[in-house]
Amino acid sequence: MRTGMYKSMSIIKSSYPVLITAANTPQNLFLISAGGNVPRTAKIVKIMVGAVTLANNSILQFGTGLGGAWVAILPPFLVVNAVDNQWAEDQIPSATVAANITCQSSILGLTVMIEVEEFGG
Amino acid sequence: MPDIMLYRAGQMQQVCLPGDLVGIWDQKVWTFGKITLVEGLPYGDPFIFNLGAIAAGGVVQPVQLPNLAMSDLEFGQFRMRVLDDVAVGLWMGTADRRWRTKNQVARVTLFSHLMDEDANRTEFFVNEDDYAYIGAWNETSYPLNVARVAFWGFRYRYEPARQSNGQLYTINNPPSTYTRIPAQAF
Repeated sequence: MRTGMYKSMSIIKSSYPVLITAANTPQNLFLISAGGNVPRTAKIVKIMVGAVTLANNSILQFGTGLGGAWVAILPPFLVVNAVDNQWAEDQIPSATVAANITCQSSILGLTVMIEVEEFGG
Repeated sequence: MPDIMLYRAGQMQQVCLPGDLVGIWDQKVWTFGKITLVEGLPYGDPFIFNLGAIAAGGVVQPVQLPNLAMSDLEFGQFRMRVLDDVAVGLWMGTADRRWRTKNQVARVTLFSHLMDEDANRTEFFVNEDDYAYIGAWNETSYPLNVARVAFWGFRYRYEPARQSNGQLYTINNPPSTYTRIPAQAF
């Protein structure tokens, strides 16, 4: 269930489909709007992963930061090989961040796309 | 009509009807008119303006909105909302920025519509060809291909309002009741 505000004050955005090009290496997925007078925050409300060409299942993680600055914001997701993997809002903890959302996978070759709600002014 | 019709909450309504008297604040002078016609200006193209592509962090200086200009002896009542993730400011004349407090000026963003569904706080008036201008800020971290702003409202036609002796009303000798139209030069 959604928690927090009783009336949505967010706008819906999505990332581009991002191909994971290196294993266990965080990549930018969603660029948060950063130019306003007050920071915006974002939370993931939908995840789609295409994994039809992988050799094995993989572990996909979402976080913030790149390289050594990477910090997880959600538990790892198991991406099952050869099927479409999707998670909707009810299945995703309402983790809100004020930074770009990044992701990394244990296997390269996944294509990841997320939908987010962005809060702010 | 009383002044409570200005900036009224809820769906946009006419601030006055044919036969009503209005006082139009324009160029720092009150001009009094009698409404002769009211017509709707529906939401839709060509009253949706596209400020075009804006780079990440980019700014669009105030752009004149000729499509909102009115004919002689007419004024328009407009509300607005943005359709893309861009912050938009309103100018009535390039030196007259709207929605001011002492130290800041409000802008309309995508979030404005979430709090103000009927956009009543954005309401403004354009008298004759006193052009409105909008400027925009792309505060996202990526370029925008389009930056659209939509307007809708009402068109009012009026004739100069005269006293029973044929003299025009002035602010020193105004009608007993009239609707104030804050058009320009605040």
